[in-house]
Amino acid sequence: MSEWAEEANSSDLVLAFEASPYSDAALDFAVEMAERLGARLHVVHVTDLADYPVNPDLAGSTVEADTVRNSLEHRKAEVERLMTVFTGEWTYTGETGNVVERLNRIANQYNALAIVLGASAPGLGGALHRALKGSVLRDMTRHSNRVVMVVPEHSPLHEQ
Amino acid sequence: MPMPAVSASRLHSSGRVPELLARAADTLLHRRSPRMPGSPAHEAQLLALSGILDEAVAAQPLADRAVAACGETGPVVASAAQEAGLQISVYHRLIVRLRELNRDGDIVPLAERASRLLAYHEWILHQSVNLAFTAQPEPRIEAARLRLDGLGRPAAHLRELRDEVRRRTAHSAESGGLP
Repeated sequence: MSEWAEEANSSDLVLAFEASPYSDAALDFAVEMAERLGARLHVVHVTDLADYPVNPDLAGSTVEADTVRNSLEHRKAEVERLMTVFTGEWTYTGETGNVVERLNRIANQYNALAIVLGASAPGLGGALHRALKGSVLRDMTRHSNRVVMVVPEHSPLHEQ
Repeated sequence: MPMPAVSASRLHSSGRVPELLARAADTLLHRRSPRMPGSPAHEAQLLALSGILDEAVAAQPLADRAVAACGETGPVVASAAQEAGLQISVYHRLIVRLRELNRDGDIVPLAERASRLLAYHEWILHQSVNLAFTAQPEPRIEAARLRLDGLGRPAAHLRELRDEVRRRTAHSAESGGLP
């Protein structure tokens, strides 16, 4: 196989995963798309405020570190459960920091074909989330040179 | 039609007082109460859901063709985007109708399944157009585009759901609720 053909056949999708039902929906849609394209799927969970304890007294403590670790392990287990329907290759990465920067870094690492994002929650919760974290979608489309696939806010596709 | 007179003591002894009070509270507070299977409201909801799913399944051949057109070898014709756009609006309207549908009890999970399957149909149409008419043409996107040959597995899941809702509607009608 020529280098060009190999490159043309290598398709990876990067999915931004966070702690919300909208991310579950994005994961399901990404699984379906990855199956269709014969793509590898890289699930990237970037830790945000929702994964941290609200109590400021715990900031920087071992309790905080344990809480974050437990939260990440819980999310990873959740992703593993949701990914049982996927027949292709996939990876899971837990990251902390700026969502857009981390997603772009992993997309570059795998030379991903596309980045799949879930829509943010509607209503006040979503508005607050966007106010705190900024619009990941807006920043991704602005700063990424890859295809960005946005999944609308819906429940997961596969039966649990 | 005049209501039959029922004494308070008879209502109380039959255990209907709490039920009537609960219904009155629901009405006053505009609260949704679960509709029992077999009730007219339940069947009306099932019929409405069935109608939406019938339309969604009826739209599948054109939607399937629109996705496949985006994945055809060679340059994609502009009419493929136009057709996909039409089908996107068909599914979007169905999603909006479904969102406005009253749903209670066992209809809630059926409507949720319908909602996510309709959302998938709209999404895959949208992504097909995105891949076919990308602003960043490159060999890998072209290779991915060529793998689009239709709506995929969720199309069959939608038909299965439509059949299930039809069965439930028929069963509900047989059990005496439909006018």
